[in-house]
Amino acid sequence: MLLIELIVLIGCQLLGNWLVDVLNAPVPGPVAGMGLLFLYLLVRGGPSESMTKISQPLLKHMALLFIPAGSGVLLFTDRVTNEWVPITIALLISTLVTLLTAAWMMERLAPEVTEQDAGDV
Amino acid sequence: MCNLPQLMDMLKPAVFALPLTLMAYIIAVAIYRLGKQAPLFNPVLIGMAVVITALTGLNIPYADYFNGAQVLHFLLGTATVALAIPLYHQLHQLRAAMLPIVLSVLTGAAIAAVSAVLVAKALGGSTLTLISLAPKSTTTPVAMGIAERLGGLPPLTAVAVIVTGILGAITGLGILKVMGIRSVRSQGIALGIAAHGIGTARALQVDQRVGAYSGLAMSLTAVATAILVPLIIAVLGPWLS
Repeated sequence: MLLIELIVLIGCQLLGNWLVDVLNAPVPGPVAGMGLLFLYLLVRGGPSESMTKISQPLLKHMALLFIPAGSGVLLFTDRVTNEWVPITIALLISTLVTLLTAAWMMERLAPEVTEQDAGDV
Repeated sequence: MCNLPQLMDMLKPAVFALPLTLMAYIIAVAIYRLGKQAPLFNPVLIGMAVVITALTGLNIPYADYFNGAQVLHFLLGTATVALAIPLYHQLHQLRAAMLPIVLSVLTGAAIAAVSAVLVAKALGGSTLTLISLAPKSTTTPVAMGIAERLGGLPPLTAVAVIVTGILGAITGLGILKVMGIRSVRSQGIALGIAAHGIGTARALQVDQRVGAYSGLAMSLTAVATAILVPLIIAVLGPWLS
């Protein structure tokens, strides 16, 4: 069963990559694969024990999997050195604006009276 | 098709790349734990710093290293697919306020991309940088995938995503409280949209309920960003360069 679920998982990944290429969709292949797996879970009525068992280490240690691609930033040290001001300010402002807009929308669209303060930060 | 010496040549980069990455990760996780899991000690950022230091110090070309670490990079795709599982589990929380949450996620994901691109452009950021910043509000694997599809620089995106997460995690809940946002649901959703997994990890440390909503918003934002950012870049396209 473990093997079958592993095949499903990697099958969704490969199928997602293939679909995105064939349709020339701008969405990343793994995200299409995530959609496929989600459909599979809906049809199946949730992940099996084997599926959970296989995916757990992948999700838990995802940080490990970012390191190879992320380290590629060393190829762009010039860009980062030259543009660190626009990059940093864009990230700061955008994070703040996103946070406040989202919270404001939630408060307007779905005011919540039952639950209280989330405690101290 | 492939004789033994050729196979050896293919495997050679993996012989140093895999242990190096693993070691970097172990060091990073140890530092993160020593730092009481504060957002600033982000394990991805520290892990990357260890690898970069090692490659620079030992004079190993990045291409060789990445070649050797292909297996891990492939598994990043597999792990991204597996994100469907937490999304499936989180979905029941949507019932409470499906339409408001979906609308907030769509708006938040769009505003995150547009505001980052606009501000960076106004301050003189170059086209490639703008494209790389656009998906910065969603979880790293999805963001890197989007940047790659759009011809941006995925490693720069990874750094932007992590910095965004750290900023959101450190300041987010404090800012929301100052602004009078007291609802656990609004706090969690906003944090998940703006600061993805790093914000969610922070939320979980403070309050399980905030963390649960944050996790849901983070998963939905991944889907929303993957669909919206290519459209936004297409619309802003002529104006970006």
